[in-house]
Amino acid sequence: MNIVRKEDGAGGKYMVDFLRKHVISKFDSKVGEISLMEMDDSTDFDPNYLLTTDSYVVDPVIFPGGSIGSLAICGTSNDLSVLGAEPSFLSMSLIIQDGFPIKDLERIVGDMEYWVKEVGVKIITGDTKVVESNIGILINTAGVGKRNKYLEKNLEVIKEYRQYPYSWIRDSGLTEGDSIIVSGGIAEHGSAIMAVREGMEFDINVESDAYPVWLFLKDVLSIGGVTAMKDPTRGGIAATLNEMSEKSGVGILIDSEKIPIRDDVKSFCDVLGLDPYAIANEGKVVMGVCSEMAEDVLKTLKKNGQKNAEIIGYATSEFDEVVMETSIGTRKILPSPMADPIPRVC
Amino acid sequence: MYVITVKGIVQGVGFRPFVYRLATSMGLKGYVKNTGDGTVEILIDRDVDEFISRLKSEKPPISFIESARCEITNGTAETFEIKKSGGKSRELSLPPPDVATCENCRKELFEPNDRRYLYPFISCTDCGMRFTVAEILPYDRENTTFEQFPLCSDCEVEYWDVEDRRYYAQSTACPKCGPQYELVYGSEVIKGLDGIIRAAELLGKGNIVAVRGMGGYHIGSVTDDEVVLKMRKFLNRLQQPFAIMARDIEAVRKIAYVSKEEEKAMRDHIRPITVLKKKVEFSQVAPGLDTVGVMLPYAPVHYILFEYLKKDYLVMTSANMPGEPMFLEDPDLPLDAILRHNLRISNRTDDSVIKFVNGHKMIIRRSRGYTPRTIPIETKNRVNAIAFGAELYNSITMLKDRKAVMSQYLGNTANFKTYNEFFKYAVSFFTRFMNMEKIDLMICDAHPIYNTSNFAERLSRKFQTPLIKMQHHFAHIMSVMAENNMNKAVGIAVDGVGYGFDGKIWGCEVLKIDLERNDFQRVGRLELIKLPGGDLAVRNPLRTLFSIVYAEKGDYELLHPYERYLKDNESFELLAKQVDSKLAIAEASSAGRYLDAVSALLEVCFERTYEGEPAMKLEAIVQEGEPYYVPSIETMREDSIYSAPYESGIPAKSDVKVLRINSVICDSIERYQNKEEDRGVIAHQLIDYLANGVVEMAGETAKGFTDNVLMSGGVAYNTYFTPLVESYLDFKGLKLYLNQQVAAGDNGISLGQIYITKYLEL
Repeated sequence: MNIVRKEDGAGGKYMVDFLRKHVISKFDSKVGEISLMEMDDSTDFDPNYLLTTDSYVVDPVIFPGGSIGSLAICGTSNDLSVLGAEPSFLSMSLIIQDGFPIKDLERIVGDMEYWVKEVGVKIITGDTKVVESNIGILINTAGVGKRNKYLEKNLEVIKEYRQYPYSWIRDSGLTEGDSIIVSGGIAEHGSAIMAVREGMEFDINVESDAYPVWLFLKDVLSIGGVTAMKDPTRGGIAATLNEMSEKSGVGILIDSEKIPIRDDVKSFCDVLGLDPYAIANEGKVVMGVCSEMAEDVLKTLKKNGQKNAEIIGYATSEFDEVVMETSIGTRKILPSPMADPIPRVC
Repeated sequence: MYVITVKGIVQGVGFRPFVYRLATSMGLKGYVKNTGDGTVEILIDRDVDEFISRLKSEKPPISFIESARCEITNGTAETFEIKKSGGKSRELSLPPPDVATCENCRKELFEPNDRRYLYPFISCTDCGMRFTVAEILPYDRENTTFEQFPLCSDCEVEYWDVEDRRYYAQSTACPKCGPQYELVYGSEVIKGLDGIIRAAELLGKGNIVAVRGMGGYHIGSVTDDEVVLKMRKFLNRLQQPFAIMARDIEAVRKIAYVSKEEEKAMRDHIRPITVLKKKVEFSQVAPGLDTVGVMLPYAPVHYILFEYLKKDYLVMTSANMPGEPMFLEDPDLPLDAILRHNLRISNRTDDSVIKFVNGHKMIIRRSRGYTPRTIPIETKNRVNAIAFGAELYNSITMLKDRKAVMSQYLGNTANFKTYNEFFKYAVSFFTRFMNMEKIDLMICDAHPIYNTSNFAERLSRKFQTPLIKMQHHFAHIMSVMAENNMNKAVGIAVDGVGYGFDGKIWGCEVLKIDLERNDFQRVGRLELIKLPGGDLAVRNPLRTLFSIVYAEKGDYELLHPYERYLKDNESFELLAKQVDSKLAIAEASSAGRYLDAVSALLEVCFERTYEGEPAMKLEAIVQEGEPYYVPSIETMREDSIYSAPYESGIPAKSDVKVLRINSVICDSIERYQNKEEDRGVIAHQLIDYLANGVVEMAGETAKGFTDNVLMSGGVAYNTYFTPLVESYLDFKGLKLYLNQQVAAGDNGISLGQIYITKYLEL
């Protein structure tokens, strides 16, 4: 391939290959425990601090349930939170198209202001450019998260049950037998965006789930036992589960009946032929939990407003893949998704 | 002295006793023995030319001599003897495939004075289980699952008697020492022959009984609608046709048309399921089709069942849940009874399926009776390679010692059980069985999310073996090239789905292949169809039809009469929005999708519950008529010249012929809705359009390049399409080649993948 393709940034299998080949291999560096090559959501640069960065590109920039501003704060905070760090400081870069309406900008910055307060994170530096190319608005935020008592407690609890060689919650932390929990209904952010963007006129009234997961994770980590965690954004839970499985070297078996999904989101996906497991979420986590602690963690999630949280499966050494049991009892592999649905049926 | 090494199918087929009889009749001295690599080594003292010539002309019926190499050696011998197996591995040779009960054994089976009277494991050197019981090479009894049944003294005598037709028959057995059947019926367990007789009675009364046979279990029942319907429900197979086993060929003739070739194929030692034109409706056995798959009994237990059964036909379908591999142990299904035996099956093997199309015998499913036959590949060096196939109807192919060995039919590897328990097992079985310690090359399909491709990626990383991801349709055509040892060809690849070099779905491709010049070109294709929802449009052909109409007309007024076929929540307005927004749209140039659209257009099929269903049901309504549409072919300049049939390098642009389909589809809707023409005739006209169009594109490419046009892919099984292609080619003086040794569908694709080894420097 001599050009960058859409798939190379779709969060799935292609992107990993693309990055390994063209980008990360040039910079592979490692300061602390986590290296760039591992492609976790954040990286430590000090025993007590993590750094992450994320760029936000979404069309439309204002959508039911939030705006690109909500994503810029929640998304970067979430990338820190899933490793167990408390989101503490953010940078902010705005790249704005010449002629962008001030009204919209105010709404976006308003959302940022709101979530900054909710999370308790501080924006301490930034940059702004106005450009002529047809981009609307793009936002980049970088974030620093710090070690905290909740994370320490979580690691302590894991070690009551088994060894855990990491000082943060890692993608590779999953072990055979760990329960897999998803914190709430899936595919809501992506469905909301698609529905509003394409003017799909039928019964779907779903909002983006943009939300800072740190707000409910504090209590969860105090209960403890979370061995691996990710926020299933691009590529949905399919990409997330595959990444965890591959990095941890275990298979995952999930029960499709247990995966929480709103009825209208499901029928929206069904009628368009979309795969809800590959659709983005912005306020959910997928976690591996020591099986002994799974019920307690689930209760804590529900107590913290994540009413639809479910134990959806477990890690296994029976096979290497992410496997889903369907309602009629057959099993199929849940692959890491591509950008578009690629037919495979003859 | 002369030492002769005989290669081919020479072990487990009575070859050594034959050699012994031949040598002693010529008064020769020396020995014969099986070697560890599957060849037969013969030492003789003189008359070598006459000996080899008689070896070739008088060989046992199911043996096959690939070569007999002779060298001069030292040594002496006093007599001629059969020596114990052994020796070092140099050349690959495999046991023969499983063989249907031979005429001699069948006669003995019903001979009341014979000690194997009605014994369901009767066999001899000419027949019986081979591949299904083989565990390692050489093919000797102790290396098969028969090892658990030590021979009784009577069998022992036969086994060592060179004059006996069971001399060294590895699968020989008798009621005293061999495996036994038993019937599990409720809380009763009825042992031996009584169990089989009881099973026949139960079947006759409309019960559903699992029958363990050579390669796994069948689920059997009479062909009455209500019984079959019950079976459909618990198997969750509402439409897919079941196969019938008929008592004998006369019985077959009562329910279906049988040509001479079909009869010959049905009766040969493979005993495949043969797809025949129906005479009887069988509305539950093969719903909505004009054909039915029929086979003749092939194992002793089948003959015994029919002996005690008052009916002439049984449904005998492989016992598996849809997409899953056949049960190896008692099926976990709501059956009335299970007729089972205690011989372990080493390799589960489904019944093979064939169909005659325009007089050509085409393999649909290559399994029992074929596996593990080899196909020679003339590679430069001796390389070991493994090809993992595609996804549906899968098989794998191993290459060793310039021989390709295709696995039995593995089935739908999108299903986790098939992938995890059957596909992976087959990979480990064959690499061990064929002693492939080192693998030089792996080949998989280019589709990025096939389970088999991901498996290949992991395996190649683990063993640091190079992996080639081959384009699906080039592999299809190369499977025909492999069978004919061809270097260049024009190919017509027609099927449902294959991942294209451009990330789009291919499926109606005219390809030009010149292996020696590394020239791979896509010279023609079908007009692209936008599939709303990807696979959803495959399951739901009206979406495909919609997309074609919408692309041609910019609206969907023509489709008004089809509104009632929309599914819940679906509307044409929504589909239009989906197409406009490019949301979850896959683009396909696929013959399968074209036929799906025609099937929906003519109100034949709106839901695909099994592979090829809309197209197969379309065949059932075809009325032959005169051609109506003239192919409309446009030339586009696009990426189309590749230096290899797998991902590598940058493609070059060239002219590609594109067969237009949108306008003929729209025109046909109007003609059909205005009742201008019978729908069967329109079906034929639209199939003719496709056939004429691909030949038009292929013919121009063949000019000055080759006279041979190869066709492969699942659409090649179409009863009407293939004869039309053949006659259009014939008109241009071109000859059509179809797959003969492997399946034209995806079941045969792993052979095409392995053929690339012939042109790689490895």
